[in-house]
Amino acid sequence: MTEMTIPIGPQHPLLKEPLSIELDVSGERVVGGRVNIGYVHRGIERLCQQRTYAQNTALVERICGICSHAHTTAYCQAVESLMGLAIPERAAYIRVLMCELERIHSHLLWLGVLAEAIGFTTIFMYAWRDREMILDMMEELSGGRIAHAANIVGGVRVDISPEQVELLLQRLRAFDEQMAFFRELIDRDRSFHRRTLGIGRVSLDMVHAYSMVGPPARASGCDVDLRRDAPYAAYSSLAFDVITADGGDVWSRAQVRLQETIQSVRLCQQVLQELPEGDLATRAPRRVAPGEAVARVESPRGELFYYVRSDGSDRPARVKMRTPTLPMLLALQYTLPGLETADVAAVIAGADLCIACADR
Amino acid sequence: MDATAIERTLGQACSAPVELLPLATCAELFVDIPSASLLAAMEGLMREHDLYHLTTITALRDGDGFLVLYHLWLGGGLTLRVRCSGAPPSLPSVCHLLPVAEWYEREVHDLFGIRFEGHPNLKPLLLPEDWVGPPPMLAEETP
Repeated sequence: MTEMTIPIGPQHPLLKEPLSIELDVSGERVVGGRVNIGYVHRGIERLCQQRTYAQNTALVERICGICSHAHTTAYCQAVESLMGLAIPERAAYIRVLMCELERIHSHLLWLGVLAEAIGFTTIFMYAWRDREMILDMMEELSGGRIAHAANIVGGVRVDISPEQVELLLQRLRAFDEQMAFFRELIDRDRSFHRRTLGIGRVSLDMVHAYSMVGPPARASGCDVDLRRDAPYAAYSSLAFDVITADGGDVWSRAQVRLQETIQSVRLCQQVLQELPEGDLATRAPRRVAPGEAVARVESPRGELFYYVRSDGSDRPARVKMRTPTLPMLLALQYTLPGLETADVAAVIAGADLCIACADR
Repeated sequence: MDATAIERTLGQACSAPVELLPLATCAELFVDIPSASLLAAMEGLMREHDLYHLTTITALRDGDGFLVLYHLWLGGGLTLRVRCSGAPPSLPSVCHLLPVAEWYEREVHDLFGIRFEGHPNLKPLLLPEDWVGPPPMLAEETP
């Protein structure tokens, strides 16, 4: 059969952000594909070298509109390591709370995007409606729905009053009940199964070859989670389970992400119940002694990596970030061959891409 | 992560003793590797220490040349630090060992102009294909 190439993107209704995928198809079968990025490259690594350590917190927050808090957490951790600063315990707990709320809303956003891609509009509406509950909580805590500005170098900027603690706990209970509906859907719904079970299977070898991280790696049986393996903030004093599955298909990814959401609710509840008293931040110096530091954070999409190098001035000499979507995109390119064209949308949505993160 | 065993493996790969240096700032190990021994070091780590995770490759300016950092994860953070110079600066590609390096090396090539010998497809990743001018991270002034 004749082969043809279908361009998807950089602007395309299927994509939420600019990304180019050239799909080689033969009839209804995908025989090859090339992924191209760079359409939202903003040169943020270079910009970081021109701003002070404190100003950069606001800049790295704007790399991503979904995991903005994970970016500032990783950046602040690296800079705090450089400065030799220990953040107050209360600040570490509040960082965890924001991280987990962010994970919940990111996973629900993903469920909505996937549902829309497989033609399940009702679930798209329900998932995004329930995601609003979490965004409202984050807005009430920090003042921002997307850019929360909760982290500063040395601690956090937002505090939680005892009344807010009660209110948040009540709302998290209500949210947890809502989640039961999605759990049931993923376990039982036949049309959801037909579009996701066995689709876009990624083997453990492929996870290793492309250094995949986060929920897609865990859905292929790779048992890694930095919150457990290299605990930061307050994770070492909180209890949670690392969720893995072994199917490696879109359904397993949905399963992992939904179960993780439930673990995140559990983590939020523990933080609110055990929130220690104390200061919100330690005062950070303006200049930093020469040195280098690394921070690794488990963002909603997996390992987020920051490297910061100081030359003794008030601006970093180098800031490097590696976001989880970058290896995921390369892996996606090699997952495409062999798919039915009708499943391409589900597989792209199932990868949970964040192009702004990958391009920086 | 067994630091002594890793030192032994890397020492064999470099045919000279190496020392893993813990960062004073955080729990990550750094080690200097001559660029000629980079591939042997990676092969040794893959063979004896089950290395598969290359987190990323960072390049930075260092005097007249560059430092290229290969950040790895072996149940703990390990970074191989390689010095690179020349005109154009170049290093051997690790793509055939760690396929994920394909994009990381393209990115470093884009932003710093470092060539990776043996890379299957070293075209721009982040920059437009018709980009002219110095690599953006080396430009003296930002427009």
